[in-house]
Amino acid sequence: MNNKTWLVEARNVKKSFGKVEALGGITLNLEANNQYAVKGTSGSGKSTLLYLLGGLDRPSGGEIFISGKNLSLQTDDELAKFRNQFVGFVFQFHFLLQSMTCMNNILLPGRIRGGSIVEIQKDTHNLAQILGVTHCLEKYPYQLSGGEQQRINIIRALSLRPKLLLCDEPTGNLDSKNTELVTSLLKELASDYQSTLIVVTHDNDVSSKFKNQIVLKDGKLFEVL
Amino acid sequence: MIASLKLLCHLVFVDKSSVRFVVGIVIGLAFSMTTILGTIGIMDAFVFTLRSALKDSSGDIMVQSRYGFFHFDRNIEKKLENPSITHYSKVIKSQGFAINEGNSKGVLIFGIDMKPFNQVTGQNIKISKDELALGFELSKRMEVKVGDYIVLGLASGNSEMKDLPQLKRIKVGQIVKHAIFQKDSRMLYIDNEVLSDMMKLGRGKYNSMVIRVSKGDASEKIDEIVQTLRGDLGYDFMVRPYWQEFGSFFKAIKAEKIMIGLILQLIVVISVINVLAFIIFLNEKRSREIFLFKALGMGQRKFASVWLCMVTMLWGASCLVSLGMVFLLKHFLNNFTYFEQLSAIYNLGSLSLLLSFSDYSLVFISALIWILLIAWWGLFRMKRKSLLEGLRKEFA
Repeated sequence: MNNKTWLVEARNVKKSFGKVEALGGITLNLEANNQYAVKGTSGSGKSTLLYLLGGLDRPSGGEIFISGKNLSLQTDDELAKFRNQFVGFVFQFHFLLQSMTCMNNILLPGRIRGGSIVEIQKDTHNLAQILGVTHCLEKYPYQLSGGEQQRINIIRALSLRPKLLLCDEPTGNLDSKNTELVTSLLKELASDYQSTLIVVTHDNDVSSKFKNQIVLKDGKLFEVL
Repeated sequence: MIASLKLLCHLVFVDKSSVRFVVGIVIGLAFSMTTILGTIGIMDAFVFTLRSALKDSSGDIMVQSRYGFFHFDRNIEKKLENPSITHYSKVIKSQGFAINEGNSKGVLIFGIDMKPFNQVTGQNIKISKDELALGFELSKRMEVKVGDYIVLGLASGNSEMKDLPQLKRIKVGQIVKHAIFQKDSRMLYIDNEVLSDMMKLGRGKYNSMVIRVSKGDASEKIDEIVQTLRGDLGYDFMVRPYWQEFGSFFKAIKAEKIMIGLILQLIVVISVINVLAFIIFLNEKRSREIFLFKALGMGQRKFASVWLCMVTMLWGASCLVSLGMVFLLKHFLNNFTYFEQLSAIYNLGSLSLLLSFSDYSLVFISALIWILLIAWWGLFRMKRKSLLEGLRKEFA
């Protein structure tokens, strides 16, 4: 176990919102290039844990190391850079801007990073072909179905080839057919891109597709399968 | 940075209501700045024109004898031998009445020696010994033109009939414009020998002198020569720079300019409140996009610099529009007769606009400072809400 390379190391991570304790001290290590499902009931703290791992929020206590870097010690700007260049997010409510075409939505992280976006555009076309959404690239998100929007969201998350792909209920708004499709695409693409995939879900059908499962209960680590 | 700026601009110009809002802000701010620039410009032009006109009508320095007429002798001539004094002219100054067919008007008569007087002042008076020149407004009042005759009445000098004025009928040889209403309506020029004879002064007697120091408006040099002459000529003479005639007026304008500049800042503040409204509008209407940009990696520092850059661009656009408005105002002032008539209230021939680089800098930079203060406040307001809270709220 000591010989393994941990991409994510969480040490006694706590998070409180006022008097409400969302995470009550979680310690876990996640391997690079592996795939994990985080499951638990509503309010178990799984989304909170995901946001902390992605640098969207700071823990109230404990430490999170990503590739050996302590996130708690990073400034806001360093965290922003970390989110941009290290993490890809897939959210339940896809977070696509309705005023931009899907292509421009996908290019957002690249534009925020700065520099050339030619490579990203090339990758986008390849991924869009794989995911069957080439016809959607020049459309606006409101012109697409929920499944198509989520696939665009996945392309955006992968656009900068992140080391860590974090998905918060990515299939929460999808029907069973699309749920299966999106789950398998995520696994496949994460593997292709050599990204560590962490999917938060309360759906047992989704979590069952993962070899590694982390179960949270009342803000604590309940079980690692 | 440019890509991020484009993203933020996308937020601003994404719909018509936002674009209209931005256009309104730009025009509002530009209008405020133009109001200040216009006011300052008119005052500056007023001062400049008045100074130039005074200089052109009186030379750089005016010397007046305190005790009536004096002999211009070698002693005085020596005192004027200063390398900085390029020209001087002896003048007989008197007061009298101009009379023409029932019209009469009190006038200030200058008995001049044409060539040196024209060299000292910026005027070009060309009259023969039996002619006089009079100011433009005076000619209108007297209803005379070149070639007409008027009667000049002097208070004393009629030895034949004691206590009655000395009267002389003289032809109008020239009508002079001074660009100062007050001078145009009072001044009358006549050859100094003719005036001397009328007043029975005898040759070589004068009561004033006008002096040219150097080309251009070298106020400091003029002040220096004034001090020297005051020392050299002594108490018998009053030595004054050309602007002293309207000295208190200039001081009043200067004070007024500062006060008006400060008061008009209120107009800028009102426009800046529009900017504030726009920032609140963006915060509310575009917070989804702003939070997403941050979630996807736009750091606070980058966001702040892009935000300030965008606000500065708004300011820049306002400045450009303001420059256009100033140009239009200048055009109106120069070309519309209404403004010429308006100027008769003042001493000048016409209203104009004179703005220096420092005037523009002062107005534009003060507006920028206001805007940046508001923009910082906007940034601070955005920073108060946590990223996660914002994302959840906006996308839920």
